[in-house]
Amino acid sequence: MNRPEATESPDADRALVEAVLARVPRSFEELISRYQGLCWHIVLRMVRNPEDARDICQETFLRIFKYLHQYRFDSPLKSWVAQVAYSVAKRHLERKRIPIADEPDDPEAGSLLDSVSDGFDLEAANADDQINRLLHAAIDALPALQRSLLTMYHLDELSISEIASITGVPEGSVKSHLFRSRKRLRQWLELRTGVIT
Amino acid sequence: MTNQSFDDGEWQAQERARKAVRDGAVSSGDENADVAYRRIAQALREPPSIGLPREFAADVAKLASSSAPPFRTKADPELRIAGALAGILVACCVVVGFRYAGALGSLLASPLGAWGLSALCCTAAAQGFQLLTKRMAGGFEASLR
Repeated sequence: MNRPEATESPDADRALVEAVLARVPRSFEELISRYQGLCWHIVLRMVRNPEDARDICQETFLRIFKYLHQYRFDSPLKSWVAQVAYSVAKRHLERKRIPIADEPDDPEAGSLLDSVSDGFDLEAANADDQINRLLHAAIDALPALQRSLLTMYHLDELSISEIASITGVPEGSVKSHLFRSRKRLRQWLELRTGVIT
Repeated sequence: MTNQSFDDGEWQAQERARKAVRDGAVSSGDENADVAYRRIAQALREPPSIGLPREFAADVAKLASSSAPPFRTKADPELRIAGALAGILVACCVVVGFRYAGALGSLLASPLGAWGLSALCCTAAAQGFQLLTKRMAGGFEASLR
């Protein structure tokens, strides 16, 4: 579920799509099983609430089922699934009036990460697991767009051009977001734990 | 901390750390990768601690098959009707063209006739183009709405 699988080849995807369209029993279930991990990563990182994320994943796959007959194999099935998931999650955030991205020079941007340090015990933070826990909290404090870009790039191993086509964000901006987010996390990490690099 | 211009050297350090974690070079102590960036890359590569329910795929597949209408194929009823209407229109034009060839010739020779024909051609071209682009992009965009 967590890593791209060998079955995601274009031929395997085409065969699976054709099977779903031909109503072969359990074929759509197999399609969901193949891509539910990717969908979950993107959606959960964006909306953070597991119940909302589950509903969004369900809506994503229902949409995929509804429009599968119009899928033309112009892009990999994985990218299309990710694009639908991202789009549904983004619309969910917009409906809730939650900003998706901060501005590059937003003075509030750093304060979100600063709030992660509340209750931080510097001495105890030497333990790896505690630093990791805090680091995950810092990642969660990033804006939704940056969280999802980082997830697609690091966890799902999508390329920058694939991410650009999924999110509709230009490649240069994807790269810039990745760079700034990671740099911000590094600065935060250094500030809180004194990690020497 | 907020205004961070792009630094290629630092980008390379981030990428080295990402690749080191991806390739499992962390445990073997890849000295080229920045320690803090490696830690960040490791955290980013960890899947969420909670996942979808075990029966998620089966439940959603069942829901999809029970609630969705049958797949619409290329031979959608509206496309068939549109095609039939277009065919009838072309046939009518041919018949009218033969039947009233002389009168049409003189009408087209007039400025009003020429203008009308141009407008008709432009409208037909615009409609045709719209239908074509809609058919090509329809599936992709509709799924994202």
